[in-house]
Amino acid sequence: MAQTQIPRKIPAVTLRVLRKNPAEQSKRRFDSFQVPVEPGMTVLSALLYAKEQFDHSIAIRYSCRMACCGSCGMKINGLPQLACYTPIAELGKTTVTVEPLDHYPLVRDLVTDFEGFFAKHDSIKPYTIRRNQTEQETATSEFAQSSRELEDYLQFSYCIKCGLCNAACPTFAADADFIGPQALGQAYRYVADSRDEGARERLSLLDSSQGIWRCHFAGACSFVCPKGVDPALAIQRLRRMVVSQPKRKSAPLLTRPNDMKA
Amino acid sequence: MKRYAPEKLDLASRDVTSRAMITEIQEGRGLKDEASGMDHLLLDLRHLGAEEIKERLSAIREISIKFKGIDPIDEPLPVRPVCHYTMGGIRTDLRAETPIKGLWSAGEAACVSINGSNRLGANPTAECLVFGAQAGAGAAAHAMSQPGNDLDQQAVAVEEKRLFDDIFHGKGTENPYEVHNQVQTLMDTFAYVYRNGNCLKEGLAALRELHKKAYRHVNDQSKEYNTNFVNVLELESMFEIAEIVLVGGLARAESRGAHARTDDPKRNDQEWLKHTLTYRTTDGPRLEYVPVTITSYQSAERHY
Repeated sequence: MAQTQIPRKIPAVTLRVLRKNPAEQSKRRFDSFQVPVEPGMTVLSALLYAKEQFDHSIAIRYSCRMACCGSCGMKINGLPQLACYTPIAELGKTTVTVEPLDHYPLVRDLVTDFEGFFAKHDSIKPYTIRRNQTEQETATSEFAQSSRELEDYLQFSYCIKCGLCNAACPTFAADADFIGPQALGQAYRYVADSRDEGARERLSLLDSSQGIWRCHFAGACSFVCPKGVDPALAIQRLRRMVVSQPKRKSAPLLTRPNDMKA
Repeated sequence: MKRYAPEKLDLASRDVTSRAMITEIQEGRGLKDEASGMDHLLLDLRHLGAEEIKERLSAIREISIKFKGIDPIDEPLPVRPVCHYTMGGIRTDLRAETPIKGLWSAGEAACVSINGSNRLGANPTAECLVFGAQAGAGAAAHAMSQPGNDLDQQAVAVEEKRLFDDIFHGKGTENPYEVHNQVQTLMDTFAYVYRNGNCLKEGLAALRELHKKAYRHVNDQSKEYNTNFVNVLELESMFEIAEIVLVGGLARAESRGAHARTDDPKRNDQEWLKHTLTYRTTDGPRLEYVPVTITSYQSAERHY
């Protein structure tokens, strides 16, 4: 949770925006804009100010402006953050540098491609699985859950799919085939849900060299999460669940060591 | 809120709460924000206590701290009514299908009329989950059964010309983002929480004047992720929707739900228990009306 102190005021910032359009094969460059800072102004507001007043062609993706939609993740002064959820005053600097997230293909300027990200998210089956399919589709009663059981997974359900965790992950930087902290955190969100019965199929999927065993436990994912989700903890818990399974065969070793980059 | 909704108090519906807030501000009991100059009130949550605020209102607390540096456990929050939701939209039936063949609509773009003249809390959950699913299933089934398309190619050519020749390659001197802000300010001035016939008329004239400005041009000529182009197209749509709101509100000489006219403060079921439908014409929106279908629950005025 953020601090309660009111951030100190700064009158203006130099906003340095990374510009590049791969389709036009333009050179990577930084454009600088002087933006007057209003109290409570976020990096997103400053970017929109620059776009509206100085250069209409800045490419930026955003929607809700309140850390719900997960669209405006970018590197702000070197750290993956949501532009809409980073007050300029909180940065405490007179220069703010914004760049696209690492580990995602660049679409243009600050916009990155999330297709691969969502494919990984989808691969862990991010929905409740019940053994009784008929009952799941045409339920005759509620799948009741106590508030204690809710707590088992609640923080992990706050994931807004902004992808900051994958951008911050040093393992991801070295190995693009790693499923990544976001998908693993979400796998745990369902496995830990008392209404879910899909633990076995999810765990067997993740018990692999590019799954839970690839994580080196740097913890960068949990550090950058804007919603207080702790994917690093989720991965540790998934590991415990996997090794506690009766009759588990040991995970296959890396079958394609040449795939490892860096 | 004792003066406005003695029984429901703070849990009164949004329209009642908005009117209460604006009345308080207009009668001089509001505050002015030093930086923005915005009129506002203070919302005091402190009586709920730290425990309840943390458990029940964690998201509100988080946002207050993040954006304003105010913890509602210790201090009251500055608040004012803003545009939150559009009750109207593209007309659909219960299957989320529009009167135009092959077109489905769901969510805030649509109007299934589950809200009437006042949006009820949590209704958009039904709009997403129920009508979103209906729209997706319906549109997919339709697409699968119709291998080709029978679009009117002439209409497609007209629309292409509008998009690319008139707007993407358009010329103009006005900053579309400034015109966008002017439309917002205009609607806040003339079609806010309280309206009356004169101010709606004045707003309509001002809007039509603003629409003549030369903002139909796109500085960003890239083909990739061009939000500048999207923003100008959105501004065109904003003008159209704003005009519908003003024309529809001007015709509806009564007060109902979120539509509160100071010159016609009473609800008038005799003449106005009906939905407004608007159609695009070259002279602006043409209004038609359809009756309200009443089933199990009788329509009644809200009393607290």
